[in-house]
Amino acid sequence: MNVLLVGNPNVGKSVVFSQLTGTRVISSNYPGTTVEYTRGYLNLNGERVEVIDVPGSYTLEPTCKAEEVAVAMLPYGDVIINVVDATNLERNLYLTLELLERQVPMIVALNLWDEAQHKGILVNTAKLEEILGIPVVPTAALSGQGIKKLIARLPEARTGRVNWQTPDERYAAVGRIVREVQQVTHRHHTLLEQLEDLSVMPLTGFLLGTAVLFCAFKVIRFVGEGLINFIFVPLFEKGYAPLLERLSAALGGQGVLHNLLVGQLIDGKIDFVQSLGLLSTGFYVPLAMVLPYIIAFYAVLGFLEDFGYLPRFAVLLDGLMHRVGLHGYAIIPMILGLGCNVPAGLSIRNLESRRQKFIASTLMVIAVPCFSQTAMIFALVGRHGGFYVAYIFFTLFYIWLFLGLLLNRKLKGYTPSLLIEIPPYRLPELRVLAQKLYLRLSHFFKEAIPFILAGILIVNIIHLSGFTGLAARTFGPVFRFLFGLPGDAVIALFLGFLRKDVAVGILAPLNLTPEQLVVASTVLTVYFPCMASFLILLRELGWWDMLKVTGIMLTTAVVAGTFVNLAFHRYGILAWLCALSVTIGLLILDTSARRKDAAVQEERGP
Amino acid sequence: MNPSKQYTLLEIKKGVRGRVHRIAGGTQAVKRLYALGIIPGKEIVKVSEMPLHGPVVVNVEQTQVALGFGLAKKVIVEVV
Repeated sequence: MNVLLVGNPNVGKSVVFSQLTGTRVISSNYPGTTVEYTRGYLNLNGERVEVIDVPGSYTLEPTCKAEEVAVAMLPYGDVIINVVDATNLERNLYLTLELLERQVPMIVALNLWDEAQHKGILVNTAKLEEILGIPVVPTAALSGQGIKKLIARLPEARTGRVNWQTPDERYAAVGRIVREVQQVTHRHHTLLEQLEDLSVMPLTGFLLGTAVLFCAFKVIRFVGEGLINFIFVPLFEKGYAPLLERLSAALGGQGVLHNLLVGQLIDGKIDFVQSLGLLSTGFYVPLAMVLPYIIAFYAVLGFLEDFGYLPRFAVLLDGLMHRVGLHGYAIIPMILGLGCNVPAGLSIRNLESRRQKFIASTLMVIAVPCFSQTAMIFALVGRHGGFYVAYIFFTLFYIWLFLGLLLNRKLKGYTPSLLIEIPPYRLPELRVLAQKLYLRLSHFFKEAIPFILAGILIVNIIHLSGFTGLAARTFGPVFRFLFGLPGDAVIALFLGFLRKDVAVGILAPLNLTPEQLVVASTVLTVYFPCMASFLILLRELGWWDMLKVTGIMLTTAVVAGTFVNLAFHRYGILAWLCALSVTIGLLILDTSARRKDAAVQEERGP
Repeated sequence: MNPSKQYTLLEIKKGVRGRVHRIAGGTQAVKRLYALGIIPGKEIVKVSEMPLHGPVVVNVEQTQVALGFGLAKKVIVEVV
């Protein structure tokens, strides 16, 4: 037997799923967290039941890829658990009635029951059961309340009563049911609710948005640096280094095996960043340089997600996003991409049109560095001063904006308007946040460490085989001419296919100037995604679109690298003034094009 | 002012309560708006409007919904 969890977006299906099956999946407080289905198993009186977490959908007529996935799953369910948001009965019931028409055995989990009570919303479940003709169980999945009862009543799932035919009759039926079973008592706005409204007002919204970004950045820096300086570096320096030194001595301080395991000694000592041995740099990069920042980033992101801030951010930035051919909701893949481009590539499924998906993927993969890479940039470039780090991120943002404006002008089609539900603010529970952080960290461990070790291994093989010299000679002239970089830097680009963090890491022994580091980091971000992100995007976009994205990436990398190189070494601020005026020109063109469109529409009449 | 008391969501002021009269848009727009509960006959309250053709935020039933400029223009409400 298999059971489908079906319901509107952001009603807590993934939380119910985790509670039923013990399989942990990422859940957040915004619609569209789940874009793929996940399977898990539940033991029901000795029978192994398959439970499938399905992406949320408002109706059975899909409007985006994530909803298509949901609807396509329906024929595979023997039983449906319809998860319904008790605080929002009227909108949720529409889907419930659509599901009833399918005549599949069904049971309703009336979730967020606790929140409904706080809000003064009372639902008469007995009456609702009677009207729908199927079992209704109140649940509060986050705390686990009602889950046992839901499992106990699962065998009672049955097909319900349908006495409507057309969509209009269905709406009428929803209205009738709500009037009969729901009672709302008025009460005063809480502090959180006042904050909700302030977050989407023009002035206060932008002030709050800036404050949120500023605090997020400060907390990430503070936590990341704190973890590095007080925990991870001391552990490596005090605990691990002596062991490695003993191994180094035992291996004679040189030789192939020594260099592979411990790495090259720098001034007679092991240098965790520059030695490039499997046991030295291979562990130091993922654990002492990247992991602390990954922890900090995902702790902050998890809080913002569960608090419910992200959809408000989408509202604030909708205007800007339309300039680059997207709408506000596309900010979510961009923010997720700051963590890792892989989940970000998946969340693009929440966007409606192929054009939007293409633009969002291109901008994300080109101009949004993942946090593994960012952590390495902080470590290597940051020691020359915050100016250089800021330079990299400003350049990337500029590329994002410029490329977006250009794509929006050149690609046919239009961008649909934003339409999202804004969930209430919810104070996240520490336990839930910790679980999510754990889930994301274990993903990092599985992905990062093997690839970083593989990267270090490859670098050693390249050095041993004498390919370094060949590469430096072959690419040297081109690299020096375009980017002002030595030919050796090409190896970083090779490793970038594997992972971006280790690619930035191997720039360390090249003794680059801060300016060269800025150029190299920018080119490394832009030119190509790591393998994992590439495969995800290939699946989501298809060969043809991915080929186009690749062309754009390579061109952008060459142009951006050359530009930054010239800006540093020849034209200085003048180059940036030119670039900014071109962008302003594009913005003006965009505005006038929009005016014209509006005028044409006006003439055609409403 | 409009004699029939019908306005688009862009025309009414923040804090004003209105009843959805109709959606002046194509089937796709109607489908998306209906799914989020913006249906003729429903009462909605405009919460805010972002500058520079930004979205309009409304309260409908127990939820808050943000509609982009283009969609907000298509929602015709009667002020109550």
